[in-house]
Amino acid sequence: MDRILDRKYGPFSGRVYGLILNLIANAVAIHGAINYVIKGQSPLEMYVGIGTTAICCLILSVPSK
Amino acid sequence: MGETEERSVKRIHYPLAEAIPQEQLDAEIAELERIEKLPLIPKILGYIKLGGPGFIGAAFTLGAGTVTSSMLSGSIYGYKTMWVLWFSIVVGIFMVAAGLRFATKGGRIIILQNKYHHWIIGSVLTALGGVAIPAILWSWGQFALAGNLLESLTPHLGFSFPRQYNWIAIVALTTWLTLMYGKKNSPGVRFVENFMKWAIALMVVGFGFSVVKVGVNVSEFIKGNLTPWIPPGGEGLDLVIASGAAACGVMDWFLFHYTGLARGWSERHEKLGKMDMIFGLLLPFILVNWLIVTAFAQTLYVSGGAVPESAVELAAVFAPLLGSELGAIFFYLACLAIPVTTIVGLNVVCAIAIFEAFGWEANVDSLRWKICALLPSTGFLAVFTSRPVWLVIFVTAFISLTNNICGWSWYLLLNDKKVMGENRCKSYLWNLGIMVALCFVNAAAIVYIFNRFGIFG
Repeated sequence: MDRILDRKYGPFSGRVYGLILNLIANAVAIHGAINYVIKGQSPLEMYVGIGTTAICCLILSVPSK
Repeated sequence: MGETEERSVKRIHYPLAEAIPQEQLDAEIAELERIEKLPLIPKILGYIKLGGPGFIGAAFTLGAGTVTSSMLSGSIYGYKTMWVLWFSIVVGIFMVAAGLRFATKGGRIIILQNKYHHWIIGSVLTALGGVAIPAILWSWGQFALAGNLLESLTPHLGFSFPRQYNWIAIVALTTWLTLMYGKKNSPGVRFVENFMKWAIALMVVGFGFSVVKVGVNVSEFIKGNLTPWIPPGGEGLDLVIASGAAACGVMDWFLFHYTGLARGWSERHEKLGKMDMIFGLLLPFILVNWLIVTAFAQTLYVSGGAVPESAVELAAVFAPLLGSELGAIFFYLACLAIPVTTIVGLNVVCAIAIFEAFGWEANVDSLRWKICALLPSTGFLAVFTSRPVWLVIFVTAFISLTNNICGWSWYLLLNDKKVMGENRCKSYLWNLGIMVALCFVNAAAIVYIFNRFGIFG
């Protein structure tokens, strides 16, 4: 996994793309949380955001060997 | 600059550390080696004695915003949100640890960021946008709080000292401490660190005295720390995101990193740095906040009356409940220590950040350093007027949107073999903690954008 994260794809390394994906997942989680907590809508979007955030964090935490 | 140089041990070059005689640095390393062989309690006490940047960090982080937020959460939610206090600082500590690794085994962070990422990330977004400009702006709130508290304290001592005049005393004290930091042939760095230690002790004694007077509900205290309760609705989201982001700020990581460098910390100091992070920064931060929340949870929350919004008004309502002049004096002194130490921290960090941003060699005797260090002291104007609203909005927007980019940069550098070599992060848990911290700073940026687009409703 660390090789995939540390390899360059175009201008950035895998870690940078992972951080961008994590940011998007954070935004989805917060947007979903607002819709669920404040507007009373389905929690699905929030769960998708939280799940993707968790996966991103778990993957990006792999250190370079 | 930014490279390690050979003295008696490998140490990152930082001009402020040059003020410390080499013999003193060598003696400290010998003392560290002695401490490491001691039993646990004497060892911890030894580390606390040698520590310093952590105490500066705690005294700095415990500012007007934190004390207001703790007073309010104690008054409105009682013990229920106590878990947020320790959770947010524990998350922030992972980034502070990254700052420590750079200070002891990597290099000066702004130089690294400028070299491996871009000067826009290092000098502009981190040093100027993330540290120096907010330092100048945030000092207004500290001066306003300090002036009002001093005005409230002095009648208990038998005289009056209105804020229209007492700001002079506050500026004089904070300027003296600020300009002493890093100065050659003076107690310098250690004196300021010891001042911070005593200030934290004053906060603990002052607020501890209040808690002794009003008591503790032990079962609610334990429940509040172990149950992750959040208020219903938007308030809950606000509380968790704001608390998490507040304890994860770039300024705190930056301050610990550079105050470590200013102490001449070398690769041999990483263990001391870790202990300083725990016993100097983490525990005092949690302890002082626990005491404040407990004091207000036991009084204003229990009484169930209307809760004022500002720290000064909250303090004014709380102090008479202590039932004695001495209690009120202790309470106000503890409160006053909070903005005073934060102003000193803001001054020091502002000068360091501006000098690093422009690649100037730090020289505390130069006029340029003195001007940069005293820029946040323009916050004394808060006694007479409020901050320009457009400036607050602009800086808040800038910080919210860029703090996460600075955090990303630190994470990438820490994990970059080319930059850190064998000193890169090799711990999965450390990286995981950093990722959680990054999620909080991301969240602050996202919430800001959502607010601007009206998505929060």
